[in-house]
Amino acid sequence: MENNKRITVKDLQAIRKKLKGGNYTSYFFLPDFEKPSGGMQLTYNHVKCMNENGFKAKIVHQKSGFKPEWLNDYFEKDSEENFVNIPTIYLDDGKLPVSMEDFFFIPEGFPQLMESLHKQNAPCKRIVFCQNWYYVLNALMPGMSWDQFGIIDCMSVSNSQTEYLKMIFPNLRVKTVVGHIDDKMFTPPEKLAHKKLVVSFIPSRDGGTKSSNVIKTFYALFPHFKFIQFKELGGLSAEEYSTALRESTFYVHFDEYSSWGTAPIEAFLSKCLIAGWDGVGGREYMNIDNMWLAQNGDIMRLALAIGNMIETYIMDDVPKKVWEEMEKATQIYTKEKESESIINVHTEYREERVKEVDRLIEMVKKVEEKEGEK
Amino acid sequence: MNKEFVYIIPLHKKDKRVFRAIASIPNESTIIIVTSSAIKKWLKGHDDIDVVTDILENKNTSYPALVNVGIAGSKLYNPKFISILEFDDTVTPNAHRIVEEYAEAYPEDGIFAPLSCIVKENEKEGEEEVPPTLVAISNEACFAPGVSEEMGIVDYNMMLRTNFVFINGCYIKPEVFEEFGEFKEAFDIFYDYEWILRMSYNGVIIRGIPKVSRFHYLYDDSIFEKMKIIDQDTRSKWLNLTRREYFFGPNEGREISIT
Repeated sequence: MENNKRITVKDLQAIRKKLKGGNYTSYFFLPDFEKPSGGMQLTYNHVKCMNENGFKAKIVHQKSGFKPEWLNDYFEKDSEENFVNIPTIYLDDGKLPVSMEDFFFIPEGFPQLMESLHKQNAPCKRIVFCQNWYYVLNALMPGMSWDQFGIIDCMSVSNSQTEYLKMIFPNLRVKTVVGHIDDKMFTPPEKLAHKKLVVSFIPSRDGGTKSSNVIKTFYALFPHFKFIQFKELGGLSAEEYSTALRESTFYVHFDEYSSWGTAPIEAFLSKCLIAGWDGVGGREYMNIDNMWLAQNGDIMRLALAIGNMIETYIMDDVPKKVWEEMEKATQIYTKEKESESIINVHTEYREERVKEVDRLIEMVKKVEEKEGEK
Repeated sequence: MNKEFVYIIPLHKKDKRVFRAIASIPNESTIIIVTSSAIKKWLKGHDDIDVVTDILENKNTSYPALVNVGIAGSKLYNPKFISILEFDDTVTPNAHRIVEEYAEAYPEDGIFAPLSCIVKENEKEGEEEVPPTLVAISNEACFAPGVSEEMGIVDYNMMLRTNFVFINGCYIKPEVFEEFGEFKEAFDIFYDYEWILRMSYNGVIIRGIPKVSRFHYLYDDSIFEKMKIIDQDTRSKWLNLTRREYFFGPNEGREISIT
C-alpha cells in the first residue's frame, strides 16, 4: 500500500477523476473458510453483481490459490476454472494494490485486520461489511468501536441489524443492502402432496446442543407425534440441500444469531412451513403471519411452536394467509432487488468519496498555497 | 346421482351417535347405512341418508358381511372413492379436498389412508361442551422411521409383521374391490388386516396421507375397545389364519374354523 507519499492537489484531482470515471476497485476481504457459509456466498454474489453492473470488485482471500470448493455448485466457472465475474486476489501474493480511490470491505469479525489497515494508514476507504450482528461486539474489547480504527461506514445486510448497529455505534453511518436467493434453485415440488412428512433443520450454532434439546422437548410434549422425522441438513451439496428442502413439509430455524438468515427464505421458496427463532436479523421478514415464531433461544416455546405447526398442518388448517405471507417475504430478496440495492449503495459510496476528496483538495490546496507563500 | 364419495356405515343397534357421523359427512357423498329393518324404521325420515339396506336380521351377521353389502350397493352410484365408517366416527370438513389432492398427485394409487384422531369423549362441564381428549393418531406408522421403504407407502413386508393401517376411514377406489375382492365374511376379527395384506400382496399401492380426515371416538362398545377383550389365544389363532389366507381371494379360500 502506497501510504507514505505526501499527497498533492494534482494527485487528489487524479483520484477524483478515477472515482468519477468508475476507475477504482472495491475489495472484499474473506477468510479462507472451507465450510459452507451463507455470508461467504452472499459476498461472492455481491461482488459478481457489482462486476455485472459497471463496478469493479474483487474478493480478497488469504492463502494463495484458496478456493471454497462448495461454491462450485452456485457460480458459473470459465475455462480456467475461475468463477465468472468474481475475480480473486490473495494476501499471500504480496502487497495489496489498493489506492486512495479504492474501497476495502472488511467483515465484522476481523478487528485485527481493521487495526492493521489503520496502523498502516491504508489510503483506501475502509468499510465494514457486517453480516452478523452477533460477532460485532464479541470480536471487540469492551468499550471499543470501529471508529477507533478509522472506520465510520458500514454496509449491513438487514434492516434489523442496521437498527442494532445504529444503537451500539450511534456515529456509524450504515447503509443496507439486500441479498438474493436463487428462486430457480429453491422451488416447491410440482404438487405439495409430493412433499414428505419431514422436518428439516440446520443444527444450532452451539454444535447442535440447543436444537437437539428442542427436538427432544418436542417429542416429550407431543408423544403422539413420535412418528414425525427430523432431518439434519448438514454436509450436503447445493443440489442435495435444495432437494431436501423441496421434499420437506417443514423447516425449523434454530439460529439465534443470524443477521439475515438465508435458510428460511430458501425454505419459503420451497414451500416449507417454518417454526423457529428469527435470529434478530430475520425480523425484517420473519413474523407471526408467515411462520410459527418463538422468542430467540426459548427452547420450550420453540418445541411448542413446532407442535402447533404440525398440528395445524395435519388438521389441514394452515391459513391461506400464511402461504401468501411466505410468498411475500421471498419477494424482498429477488435478484432485481439485490442488484438495485447494491447499485444504489455503491453509487452513494462513490459520491460520498468524491465529496471527501473534494474536501481534501480544498485542504491540501490551502496547505500548498501557504507553502507557496513561504 | 353420481356422487364421488360413498360412505358405508354398518349399524347394529339404535345409537344416536350415528346422526353425528351422518352430519359430519360432506354434502357431496352418498351415505349407505347397512342395518336391520327395525333400525331402518328408527332411521326413517332422516334426509341425509341415501340408502338404508336392511340385511342385518341375524345378530350373527359379521361386520365384513355388512360392509360387503354396502360395497355392492355402492356400485349403483359409480363413486370415485368408498369409505367405511363406524357409526360413531366423524369426518373432518376438508376430508374430500385432502383425498382428492393426493389422488391427483398419485393417480396410480388404489387406497388412501389419511390419519385419524382416536379420541375419548369428555363429560359436559355444566352447559359447557368439553372437547374430546386425543388418545392416539392412527395410520401414522406409514410416516415413522424404518417402517416403509418409501415414506408414506404401506410396505407389504412390514404389514406382514403387524397391521398398522385402519381400514375404517380409508378411501378406496372401487376398482380395487372389483379386481382383488371384498372382505372375507368369515373373519370375525382381522378381516381388515387380511384385506389390506391381500391388497398389498397384489401390488395395490396404499398411501398414507399426513392429514386427518376422521375422528374415531373410543367407547367401551366400540370395535377398537372390543379388540382388547379378545383373549390372546384367540387373537393368535385368527392372526395365523389371516397370514395364511391372504393369498386367496374371498371366494377361493378354504373353509375356516376357529375353535
